[in-house]
Amino acid sequence: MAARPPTTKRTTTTSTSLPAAGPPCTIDPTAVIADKAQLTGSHPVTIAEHVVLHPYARIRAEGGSVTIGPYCIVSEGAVVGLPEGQQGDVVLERWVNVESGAEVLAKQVGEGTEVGIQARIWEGATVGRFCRLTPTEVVGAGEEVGDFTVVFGDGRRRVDKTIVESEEVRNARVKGMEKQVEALRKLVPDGKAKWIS
Amino acid sequence: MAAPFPYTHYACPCSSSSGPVISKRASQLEPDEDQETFNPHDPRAAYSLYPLDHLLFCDECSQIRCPKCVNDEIINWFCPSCLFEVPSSAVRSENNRCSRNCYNCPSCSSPLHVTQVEKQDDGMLKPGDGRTGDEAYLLFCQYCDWTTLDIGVQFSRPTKITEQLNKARKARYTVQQPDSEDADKTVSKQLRNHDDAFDRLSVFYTEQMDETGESGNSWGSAYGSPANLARIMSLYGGLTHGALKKSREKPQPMREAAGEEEGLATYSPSDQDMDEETLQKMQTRGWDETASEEQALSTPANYGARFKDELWPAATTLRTKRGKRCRTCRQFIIRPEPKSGSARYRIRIIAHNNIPRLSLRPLHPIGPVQNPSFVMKSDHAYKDPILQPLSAQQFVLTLRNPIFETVKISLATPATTPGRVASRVTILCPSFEIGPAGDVWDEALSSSTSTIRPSDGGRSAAMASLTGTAEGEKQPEAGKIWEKTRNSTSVILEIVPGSLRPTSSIGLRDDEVKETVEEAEDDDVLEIPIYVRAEWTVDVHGEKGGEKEPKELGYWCVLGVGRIAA
Repeated sequence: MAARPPTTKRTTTTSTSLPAAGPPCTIDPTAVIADKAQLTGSHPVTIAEHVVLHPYARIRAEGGSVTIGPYCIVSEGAVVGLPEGQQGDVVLERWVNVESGAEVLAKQVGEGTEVGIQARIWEGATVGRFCRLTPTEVVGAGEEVGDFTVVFGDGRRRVDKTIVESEEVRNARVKGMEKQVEALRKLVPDGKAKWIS
Repeated sequence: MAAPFPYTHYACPCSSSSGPVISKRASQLEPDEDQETFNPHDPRAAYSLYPLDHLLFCDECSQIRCPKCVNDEIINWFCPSCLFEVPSSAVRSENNRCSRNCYNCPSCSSPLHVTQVEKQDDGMLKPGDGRTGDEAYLLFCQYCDWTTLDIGVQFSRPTKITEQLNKARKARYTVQQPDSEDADKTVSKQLRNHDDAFDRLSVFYTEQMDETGESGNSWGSAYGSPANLARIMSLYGGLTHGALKKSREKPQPMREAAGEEEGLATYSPSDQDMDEETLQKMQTRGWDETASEEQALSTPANYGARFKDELWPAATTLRTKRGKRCRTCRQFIIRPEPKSGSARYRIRIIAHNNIPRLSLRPLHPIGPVQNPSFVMKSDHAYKDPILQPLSAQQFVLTLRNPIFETVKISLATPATTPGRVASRVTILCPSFEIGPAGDVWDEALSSSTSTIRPSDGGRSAAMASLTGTAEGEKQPEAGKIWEKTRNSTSVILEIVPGSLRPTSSIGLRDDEVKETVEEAEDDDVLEIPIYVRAEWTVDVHGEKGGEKEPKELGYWCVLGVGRIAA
């Protein structure tokens, strides 16, 4: 499925058989979905504008719908969404960066949050705005992480005062995110055609 | 022993009962005369036995050196972050920390980076931060996002961070000069700052030392200061009558610091308010906001910090490069290159390259020989080899020569192993030669041809036909080398493991046996002490064909064979 070349001709001719395995998708035309990204499950998937899904990123709408906000990046090997057997929707707000190997099962992840490499957010958790999970950190099921929190050093948490008080730092982070999306747009070839039925 | 069987441990002579061996020639200590047989079951043995790769070698003394018989010497100090080499004279004055731009995060201890930010116009900054231009710089932790803005500090330049940080800290913690009414309070507040308190105390005591004059000389440290030394010298020079008289006066006894002006911080009832305040703060902010002990001890600036927002970045602590010297002859055995960026060694004499290595394997292995490091599955987990008592077993003992000369080896071992369980050990060929080590390429190219079979003459062929063994199969023979390659030689070791139960107890009942046998830990481990003596000649001054100097080296090894079945 993933190896299929996304030529337009192909899409038109075989469109009836293609989305059979894929979930019902609403994908913004400005989003970039790599050819080898996976969208699985049967619940609806909404991908907003300027989203970048890297190759081998996985949107798993098996236990509920998945909504990905504008300017989000989901990296290689990262998984967003609940697996089969668990019920619940997953919402990523704007400017969420899910790094490679991370797994997001959270109910909601606030804007500007960075989920570090191989970090885990278990089901039912909520993560606030402009949070940062450093690599391999874990947020347990049902936990709540307040706005501007940094989760680091094996579960220690700290409210990042700098970002609370300074609009500029927040803007800088948003700007960085948008620039990163711009750069990735040139680097990641788009293959979203096959997901649009 | 933690090492998997079969292992070889080498005994360092430094902890033998005869003390450190000073004699230059190892031949002077005959194993049977000067030294007693090494007993691996002796409780002291554990302190002198090491695997080969833990040992060093001193080529002046021709002796093995273990970590206990070398002295560490600091070659230089450097900052691990900027790799700047700090001269030893400056190390102390800089408190063993980097005085450049290297800082660690007080929150998570990872290194901080200098980051540029655009100018901010919020009211957070205090006037007098010395900000000029449109640029401002921060120290920023890339791991936990801590920045110096958390403590309200920004820098105007990306360099000389230490200077700017000290300035900011001084501006923060120095209170106005005590000209107002509550001067006392100001002073006591100042004393909370360790630096201030220390400065005041040191000023006071220096004054005291000066006042008491010569009595200070009785202190060992008094000679350290040039001023004192000058005064002592002037004592012996011409002195005026008055000065002489004064010097003979009974000196005033030294006084301790008594007041706040002198740097003594005492508890006063007004401190209680402060304590209450701290307690209140702790209650409202909770555990997460309270600084941990580790954080508070990260740098002297944080010693008094109670809360996380009072923590200042900690300057990176310096690292050292160390050399190792032989304790006996003070020669460098290991000396790293002083350049902080390089990981190479100038001198590195390790035992691995200087003494023959012994390794043991069974002659007829039961299963495939496996290295426990490579075992993947738990069902193939390493099991100690079990030896059947009172049945002869043969092992191949291989000695590999790391030096570039042909070495003559003599092996010696007690006929029965020391310890409670006596096993009989026979080395079929105790003296032989090992060829020189050489280029790895030579070895690889010639290994297929250089294996010399021991005298494969008509006699052995006749023996083979008589005993009915295949022609390729060798028989261990007394006085014969088993196998020889270019720089290694193997001989056969015959072992009859002793019984855990004394043989005399056959007629006794089981419970009686238990009474007589005192089981000690690891008594069932069969360890064979072997004394190795290596002799070779070296060319003096490194010239070929010149004068030859004989060299000898003797050391005890312990071969761990396995556990004896009960």
